[in-house]
Amino acid sequence: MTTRLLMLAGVLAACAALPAAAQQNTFKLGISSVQPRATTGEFSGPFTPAGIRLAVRDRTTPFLSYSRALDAHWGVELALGLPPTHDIALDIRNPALPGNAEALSGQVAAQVRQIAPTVFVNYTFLAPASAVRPFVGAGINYTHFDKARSTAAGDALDGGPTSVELKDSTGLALQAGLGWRIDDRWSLWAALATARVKSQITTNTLGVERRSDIRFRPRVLVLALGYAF
Amino acid sequence: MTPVHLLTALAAASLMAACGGSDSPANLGRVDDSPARGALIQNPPPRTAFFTAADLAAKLQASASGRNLLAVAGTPKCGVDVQYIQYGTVGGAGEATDATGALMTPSGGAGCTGSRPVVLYGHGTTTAKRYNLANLLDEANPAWSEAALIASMYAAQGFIVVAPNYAGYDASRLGYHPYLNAEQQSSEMIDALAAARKALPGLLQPVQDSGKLFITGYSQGGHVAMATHRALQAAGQPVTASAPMSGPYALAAFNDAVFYGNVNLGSTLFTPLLVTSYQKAYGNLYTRLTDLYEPAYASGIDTLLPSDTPTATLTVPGGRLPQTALFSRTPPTAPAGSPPALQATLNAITPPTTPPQLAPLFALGFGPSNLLNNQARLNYLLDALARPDGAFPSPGTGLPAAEPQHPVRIATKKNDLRNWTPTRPVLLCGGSGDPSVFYSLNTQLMQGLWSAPSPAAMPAGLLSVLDVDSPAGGVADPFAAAKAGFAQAKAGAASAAVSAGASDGGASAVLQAYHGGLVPPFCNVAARGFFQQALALGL
Repeated sequence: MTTRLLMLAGVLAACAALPAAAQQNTFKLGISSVQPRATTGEFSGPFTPAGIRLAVRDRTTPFLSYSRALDAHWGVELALGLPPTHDIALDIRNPALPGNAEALSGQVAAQVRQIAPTVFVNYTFLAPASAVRPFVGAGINYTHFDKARSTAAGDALDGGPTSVELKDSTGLALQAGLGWRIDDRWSLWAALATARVKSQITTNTLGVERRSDIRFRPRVLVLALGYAF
Repeated sequence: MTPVHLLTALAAASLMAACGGSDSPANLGRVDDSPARGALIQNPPPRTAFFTAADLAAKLQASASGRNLLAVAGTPKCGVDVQYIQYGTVGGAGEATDATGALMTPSGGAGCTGSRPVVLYGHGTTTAKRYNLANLLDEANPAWSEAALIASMYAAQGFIVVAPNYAGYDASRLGYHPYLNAEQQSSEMIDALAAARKALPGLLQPVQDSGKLFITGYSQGGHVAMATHRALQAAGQPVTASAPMSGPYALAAFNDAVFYGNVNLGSTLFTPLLVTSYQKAYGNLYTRLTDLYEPAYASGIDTLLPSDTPTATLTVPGGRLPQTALFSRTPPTAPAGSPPALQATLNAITPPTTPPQLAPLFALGFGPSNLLNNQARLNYLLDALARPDGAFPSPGTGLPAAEPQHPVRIATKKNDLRNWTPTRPVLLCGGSGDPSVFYSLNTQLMQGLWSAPSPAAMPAGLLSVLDVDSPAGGVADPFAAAKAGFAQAKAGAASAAVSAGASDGGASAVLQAYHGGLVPPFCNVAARGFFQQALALGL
């Protein structure tokens, strides 16, 4: 974790240290709709019946990025955002379970905050003066989960006060989008991004540990206003 | 460059917030890593299953065995929460250890919440190491049917149930099970009860202990229940009533009968459990395993049970244990110089041919691939012949031999329960045709001992005895329903076997199902009625 932070800090420092050129820096500020599109395996562990999965719900959150142009087409972008807190709902499909356990299906069992800084190398098509410029990017996403907590419904199903942890993930990220040039300084941006996020969720209910693999195929829609300087 | 620095600062702040996140296990209660006796290791304990009364009824309705149970136990009145308790206790030699069990609590409306009576339940013999009565959501757990039985019999009718899995099972760190060790098992029951009482206030749906304590258990658990009642009474602790069921209470007489050739069904599983338990407790049963066991089975038998290997696998031909042959079909040879009558006696009990109706059962206990060697059987018998039990082979005092010399006989006497008289109500329940724990040598023997004119007789009216396998005595018979139900279940098992092609009228199927399947629901429902009556009378 510390190593990864240092790596990110290094990238940031590298960006900041690049030679200056005209309007090579762009801030983007906007909103992103984060659709985690997570699939979990069934939970395993003691006292864990079959058929219990999770569904991570969508969240819209403010978006912030900084990009630095390396030349007319290539650039580096660090995408951030106000880390979204996702509701994690129960998906219970086991007719052998008692009715009042099944009735918890669909209820929010946990919440988790997702901090997912992503560094992209972008290639922007067409000439810098073009009104509309498509771009594509590839990079690395690092996702850290924190502030995970179990709700009353989660505690009821799990059997008591429960802690929740998700492992960090590092993986490939891709994005594609369009920029509309308003003037030399201002621009509008729309992008669709995704990343490969593989994690493992561990719950601990009064000593009873349960685990499930969780895989996100997030779809992040971004609308942002850019300011170049 | 100021904006870049600003951004760096923002990112760093965001990432630092990530590091400071509160994702460490929090609020998970208190854990006692070196638990004293009766300590609740994880407090509060996790709840492992929860049913409303309707959920439990629906669950039981979903299977044939569940419907049978529901018919006997009655419609659930309460929901049931199942908690998994871990507690500190002792091993067979007094060593500190831990064990796990189930704490079942009623929930729902009136008669299910608030102040509730406690049933302390001892389970029957199992070879399954992963036996866990708290696993009521896992029908693949070998304890599931007994867990469903006690949940529906007691918890769903408003009783708090404390049911230890026993030391040596499930997650207990004890490497063996102190089987039928009266001192250890009663201590453990008391420890589990103490731990459960500590757990009650912190449950998701808390209930209170009303102070009424009922003790019951089946088979091994019948012995455990009686030993626990005895221990609590000796300690001056209150017991409201107890109902030991189908247990080997007169262990010394019962074990003598087995060595005399009255081999019970299940003996090749009971024997290694018993020998290991007493070897661990007393250390003098054998020097080498081959002192007792045939070489084919001796190696590793002291660590074989309990096991995660199914019994059926352990007892396949060529497996780790013989299926039923406890003894050799060749009679032991009387020592040189013995009176000729001794060899004749040995021949006559290898196997015994009387009583004729039991001869086929006893014969199953003999075979070419037998568990115990003839020298061990002979040594045992020589002591039993010289210093006979007062109940077997000839009825006399009804008490154990005064001074047995053979280490196994010394051990069984130490764990024989014919040495006390309860001062609180007791129901002894069993089935007189039980092929695994003989009724006459255990239940009936205790009945005689605790009834006038025996010097150990209980005060009039405190002892009730139920043989579910006896004719109902009309409207005055408080157990008429249990007897009629048992008769019906027995007939059902026989006719099912006949339909499946049995040519013996279903007798073998009934014999196989008798102890483990047919008797338990009816004895438990009788025990519950007995407890409810004690509550109604304010005893």
